Amino acid sequence: MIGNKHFLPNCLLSTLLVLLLLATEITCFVRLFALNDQTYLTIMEEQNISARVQDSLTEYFTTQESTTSIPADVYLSTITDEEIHDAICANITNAFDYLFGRTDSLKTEMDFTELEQNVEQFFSDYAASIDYEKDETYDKKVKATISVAEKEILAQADVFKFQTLNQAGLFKTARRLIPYLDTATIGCVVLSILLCLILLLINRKAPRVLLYWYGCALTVSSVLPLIPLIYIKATDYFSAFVIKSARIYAAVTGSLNKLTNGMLLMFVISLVIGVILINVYAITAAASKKADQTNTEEPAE
Amino acid sequence: MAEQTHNRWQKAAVVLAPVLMLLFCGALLVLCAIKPYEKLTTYLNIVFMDTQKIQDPNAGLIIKDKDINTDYQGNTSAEGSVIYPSFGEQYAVLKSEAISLNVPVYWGSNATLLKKGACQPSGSSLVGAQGNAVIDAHVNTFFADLAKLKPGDTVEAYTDYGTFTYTVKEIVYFDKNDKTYVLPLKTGERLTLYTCVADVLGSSSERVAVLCDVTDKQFYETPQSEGGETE
Repeated sequence: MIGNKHFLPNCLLSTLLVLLLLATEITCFVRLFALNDQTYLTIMEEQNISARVQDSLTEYFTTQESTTSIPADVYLSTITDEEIHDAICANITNAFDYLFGRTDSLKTEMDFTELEQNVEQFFSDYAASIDYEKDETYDKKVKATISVAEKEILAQADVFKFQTLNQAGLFKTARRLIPYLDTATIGCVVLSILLCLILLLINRKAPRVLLYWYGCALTVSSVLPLIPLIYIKATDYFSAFVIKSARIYAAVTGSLNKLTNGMLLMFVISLVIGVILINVYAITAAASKKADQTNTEEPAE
Repeated sequence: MAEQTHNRWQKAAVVLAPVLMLLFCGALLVLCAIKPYEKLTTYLNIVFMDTQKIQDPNAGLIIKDKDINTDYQGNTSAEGSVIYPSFGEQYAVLKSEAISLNVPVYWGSNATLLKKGACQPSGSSLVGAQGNAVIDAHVNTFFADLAKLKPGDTVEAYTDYGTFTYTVKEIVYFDKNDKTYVLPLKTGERLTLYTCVADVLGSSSERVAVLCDVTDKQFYETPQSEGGETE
């Protein structure tokens, strides 16, 4: 029975269990989903990021043509969709390797051999057409042009702006804290199980009541985060993201929406389980009460 | 009687327990979140401040071309007010006989608008208003002959609200990172036309600007008609 002498300790322990369950779900979600590079690689495919980066690079080099007179094709013919796709994937994988301490460098490399050859050939052909003698100035200009192009391509492939986040110090902070995440996750799981066992101990004479208290804890721990999550989905909060560059907007808002959807799903499932447990308790309690009443009413033989 | 009270208490407990837990945990989480939220609010407001919630980031720029009258014959006055255009709207025509210049001017500056004409960054002053009206265009298209202007040449800017005549005062060359000539002016009025110095075989790092002083302002008594939209 719920309202027995153990009501207060059950209530207090269940309240504590709510907080621990919330912490457990959030730490597990962050560890297994939010900090998993596969999540972001999937987002990249869903949002067709590599095509957006290709469009952005086309626009950039076409605009540059106005001031440099170097045809955009000199650069664009050397950058394939596959190379951009691989560069973006490498950026993401590298960033998470760096976060988890598997590597010490956040730099991603791309093979620019063809680009360098193309630019050098263009410069060489132009110099030959105007009888320009290749001197130190010529070499400097070629190197500068190649360097600017490579930097721009690498910057555009970094759709999640990991380099910017690193320069702001956020990556270093995250890298320092992530080792504690596993400990925190395991700690929350262990404490939750411990609390469940304590509840079991208290209610060992009426174990059916546990269905109710576990159900309450699960329900409350799900409802609390569902309120802000539903608000975020209902107001389409992430669409107000201030950077409107197509590739960055798609990558960032796509990630945020996917993480929000993942959390919503997780908490809805735990809410459903909680409600089911409470209902199972209610049904079995009602059935038990009816059985008791029937036994009481049967005349003695 | 005692049993009835007990049953009522049972039923109340079943309902009250989760509600009390929800209220208590909710209040606790809100209290714990106040300080972190206060710290995060500034960053959240900056990152998610755009009131235009665009579903498709490739949509949004509405380009408004206009048929601006460059032969206004009505009444004018030396004083009047400017009409602020929207981003992407053509709001002026720039002409100069000295270099056969005749180019539409769009409010706002991005790659798409620079293909259509000269652009005016929306942080600069409108022509006819106090401050620095900064207009730029590509050197290989609309401002190809800009550097050929000489001190004393005239430049006219025609808008829906008036016609403004400027005289070239100075031609300057500066590095692309030098913002001296494109910053707002606290006093006076100036028209600054600038473009890149074409540098074949490399990225252009130099700019050329034509600084013009206003010599005549004619605000129309009646502003002119609207034009059409394109996307």
